[in-house]
Amino acid sequence: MDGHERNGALTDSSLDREIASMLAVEPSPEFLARVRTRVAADPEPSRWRAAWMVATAGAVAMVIVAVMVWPSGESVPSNDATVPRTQVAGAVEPVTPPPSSPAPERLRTQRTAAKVVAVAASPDRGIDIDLPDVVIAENEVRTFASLVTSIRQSRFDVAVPAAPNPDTPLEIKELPPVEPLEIEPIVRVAALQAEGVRP
Amino acid sequence: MHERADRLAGSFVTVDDTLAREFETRLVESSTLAFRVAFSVLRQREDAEDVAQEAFAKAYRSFQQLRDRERFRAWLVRLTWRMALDRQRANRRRLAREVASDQIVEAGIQTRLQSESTGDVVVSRERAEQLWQAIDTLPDKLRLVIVLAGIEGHDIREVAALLDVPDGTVKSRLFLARKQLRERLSWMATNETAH
Repeated sequence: MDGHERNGALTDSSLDREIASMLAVEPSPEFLARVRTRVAADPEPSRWRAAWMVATAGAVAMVIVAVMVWPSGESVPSNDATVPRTQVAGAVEPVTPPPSSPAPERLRTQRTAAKVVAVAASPDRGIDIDLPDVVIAENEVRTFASLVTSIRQSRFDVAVPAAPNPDTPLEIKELPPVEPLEIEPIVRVAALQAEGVRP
Repeated sequence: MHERADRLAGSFVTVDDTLAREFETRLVESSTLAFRVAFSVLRQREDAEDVAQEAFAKAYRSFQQLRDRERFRAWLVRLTWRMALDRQRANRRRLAREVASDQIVEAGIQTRLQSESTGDVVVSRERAEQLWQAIDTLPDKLRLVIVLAGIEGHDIREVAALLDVPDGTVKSRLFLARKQLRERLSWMATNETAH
């Protein structure tokens, strides 16, 4: 044995040589040809898989589009539609609580009295949505009404005061001159009395 | 007209053609490696060729999905190793069922004679069998490292690339594998002398 040492000890290199010689086996000459035949006989999965993936992706996309486009049964009123003034006026009803009633009773009355009615986008199509009661204080309603009136009569100036220009330099006013501060000397009365000196 | 169409069709190179050509290149450069990896587990030329062939068929099926084709050899080695181990287990189960049969004895003798007659194995039969037995007792990780280091003169870096592990890991595994092999072989030698 070449790699095996005479004294029985086996070195790394001899061990490696032995393993290498044991693995130096060549496949038969027809091995490559057999592999080629086997591979050629295999159905082309790549093409099939690609088609399958494309089909799956298409189906998923269709499902997503269908879910997004499907009508939801509830139509949402559009914001830009013009609403008749009479409907706006009827939408919010001012609450006038009775002055003699106690506070909890008053709240309950307000809840039942002031109910916001959904305004339809067009006059012929009304949507009845059950919205919760909205409590609006009388003074707020009055203020809002007066605001609307003043805007209608062009009495209200909606101009926003101009913001200060950041480019203009700041005007720094001169500070008044600093007057010297005079502090009177501290007289230790007790100490002076102890020494017999009158302050 | 048809001739012209045929000529035109022949001049086109499709994606499939490119893939097939690339696979053919990989097949030529890695076929012996795959065979030897399978042989190191099975020690039967026919079985090793079958397993390597199946590994290539499997590799071909997933070749398009392989992102880094430069790592084909590493991928193929691992695939072949796993398939060879599966085949070995199946063979062992089959042999265990037929253990009392005379056919096994005959087949064993035939295999040994065949292996000797091909002259592939340089070391003597007994010594080689001892070494194979010792390699079989190693844990899988050590076994694969020592086998890959013994194939085609792979150095540590090449083995590390094939196994996708750091060089240091290969070094330590090789060290452990050699140590365990030496111990095992010396134990075998002592036992033989005692008998």
